[in-house]
Amino acid sequence: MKKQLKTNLFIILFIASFLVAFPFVIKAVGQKDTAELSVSSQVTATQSQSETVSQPKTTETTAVITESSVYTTVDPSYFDDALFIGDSRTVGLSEYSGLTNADYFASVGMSLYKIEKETVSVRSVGKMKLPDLLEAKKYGKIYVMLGINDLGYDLQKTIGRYQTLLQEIKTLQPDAILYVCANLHVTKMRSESDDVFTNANIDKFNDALKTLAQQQNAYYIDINPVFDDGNGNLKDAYTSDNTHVLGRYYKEWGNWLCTQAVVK
Amino acid sequence: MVFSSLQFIFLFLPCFLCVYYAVPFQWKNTVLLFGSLIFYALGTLDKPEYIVLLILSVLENFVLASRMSKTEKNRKTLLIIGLVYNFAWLFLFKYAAFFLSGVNQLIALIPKTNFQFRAPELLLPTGISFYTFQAVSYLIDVYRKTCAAETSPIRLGTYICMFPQLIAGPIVTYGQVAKKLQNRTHSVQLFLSGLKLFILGLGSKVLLANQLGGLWSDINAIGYDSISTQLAWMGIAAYSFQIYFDFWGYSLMAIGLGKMLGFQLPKNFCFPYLSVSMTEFWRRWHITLGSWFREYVYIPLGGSRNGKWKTYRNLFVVWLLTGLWHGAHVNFLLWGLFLFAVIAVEKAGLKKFLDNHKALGHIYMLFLIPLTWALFAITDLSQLTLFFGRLFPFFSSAAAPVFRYDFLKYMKEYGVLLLCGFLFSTKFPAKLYKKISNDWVGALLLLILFWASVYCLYIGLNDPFLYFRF
Repeated sequence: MKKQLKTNLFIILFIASFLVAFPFVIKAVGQKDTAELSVSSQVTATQSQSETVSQPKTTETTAVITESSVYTTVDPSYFDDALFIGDSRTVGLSEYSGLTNADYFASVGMSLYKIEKETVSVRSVGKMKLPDLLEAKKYGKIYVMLGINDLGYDLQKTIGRYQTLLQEIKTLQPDAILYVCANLHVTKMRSESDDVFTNANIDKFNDALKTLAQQQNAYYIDINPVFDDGNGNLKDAYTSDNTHVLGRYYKEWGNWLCTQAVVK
Repeated sequence: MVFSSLQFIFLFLPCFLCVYYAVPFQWKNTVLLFGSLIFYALGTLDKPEYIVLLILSVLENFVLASRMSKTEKNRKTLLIIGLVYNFAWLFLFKYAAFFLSGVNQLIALIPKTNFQFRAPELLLPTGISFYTFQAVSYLIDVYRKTCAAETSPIRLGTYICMFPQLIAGPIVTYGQVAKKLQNRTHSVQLFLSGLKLFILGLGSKVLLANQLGGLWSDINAIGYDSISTQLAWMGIAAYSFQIYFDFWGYSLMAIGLGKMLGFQLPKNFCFPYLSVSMTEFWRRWHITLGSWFREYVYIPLGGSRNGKWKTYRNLFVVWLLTGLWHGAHVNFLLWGLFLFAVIAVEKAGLKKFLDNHKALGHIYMLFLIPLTWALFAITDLSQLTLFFGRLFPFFSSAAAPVFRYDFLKYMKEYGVLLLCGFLFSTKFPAKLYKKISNDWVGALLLLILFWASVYCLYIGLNDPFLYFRF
């Protein structure tokens, strides 16, 4: 009798929890499918907007910054007082580029919508939020590489967040040279099979970044020509997950950064 | 459609079970057959012709076996027709491209010939390796008169197609389910017992296998030339655990589902990582595949009854075919041949030694298991060489990795999971579970396992390849 009660107890609890959760799970599964659809439609809707809004403003600094002659080649000690802010690609740089003298404020999945609140462990400085880090230590140059994790959101909103971030960095570190880094392309296969993470969307975002950099007196640098396949996609041989470059290419990335240095 | 998906657990299974339990017994096999065909169709939506292939296979085997049982003269011919039919499809979809690329390489050696075969680019029909083997085992059993030919195409269809074992086994012989096809009982107890097994299997796959797989895919994203030796070993350990908990989990789910439907499907895993020899390992790992090869290849060739050399020859054939069954690629051949070499050495005397010195046997397997899985996991031979160079740095001239303490980072992330991997490879958790399974503690544990798995499935952590962490 007691055993039957125990058996019945399990089945009652199981079925009860199943029935309670059932509508939520079905709703969630259904929502997930439609959310993915709406995200991609949002991106296409804002594309026409961004074309009219983000027209490059011609200032003297624009002409100076887009000239490649402003960049020189330096040796790695240039990065002694550098800070890299970014997502998993920046994490990759911190681990595999060989530029171990720089500081890195980066985490996998870092988003422009969460960067103010996220705590990251920065080697030799400690675990802290970005504003605290910018107040604690003085940097000669600051590199920002963000955006791809936010590709599914409204472009203008994201660029607005980026602008706020750059302004905050400039306020707290007025003497630092500011670099805005283009987001890395994905492979052709990923680009063709995904709704959000396509190279067309990445390029649109990077273009908006280029304009933003010009407006904010920052330098815009783009790694993509180094790793592209000639058609605007990340070369297949450089990656195994279609999204990140293999460890050894971060070394090349580090070497390339040495050639894109601004010396004041 | 896979068992470890929300669609299966919350939509397909409840709907199917409602219909299945509602109908009287004489309709249950029909419902199961059609339900299984729907299950298969839902998983092959982009290739609807594959379900036709499955149905044809059932019909063809039914007709041939029927005829075989009614004649004495043409039995061998009918058997050969059946074997050719079944294996021809398998060869076409799975091995044609591999075979042709081998042929092309040979042709390329002939000077002044530019001719090359163009290999067909075919998508492998889901489950074809499994249902082909089941169909073939049925034909051979009828030929040998081990069992009578099935008189109902519905029952035969149910045997070959039933969804618990259609996609990924266990490979069931007809004799193992013949009685239950004719008559079986259902009860709340049986349903519950099946549900519990299903939940355990689900947890094994989603909470252990999929999570541990993350480490192996992280390493692949970095590239073998950039990882340290320690990380390489951690990675292959993670892969070894992933493949075990994934497959074991799936088999448990299959057996659990079978139980819910009144069937007793055979066990497929018996704590293989506790083995002290490779020979023992293959009697504990994917047991039904090993049985199939023993029953339908090794024994017909003579087994170990025709002297030493023939025994080794028979083992060689079995392991060559086992390697190939797992994949149409050179590394699988290498894997099969390596296993043959190890098992041959064990047969020559090493096994006896290992059985008598179990501690050494465990250490021996502790290295052999991940090393053989490395051969299995890495299809590109140059990548394989690179990876082995990382595992055994004193044999390669590779430089120290840039990220010198990478293994510390991954130990933080995966250390606990790896420990769980070791723990769940032993019998302790199973023994503990047995003690509490009929208790409220057991019930609570199962509920937690179930909802934790469902949660992981929902947030997409079920598949490290789907969930791209940027």
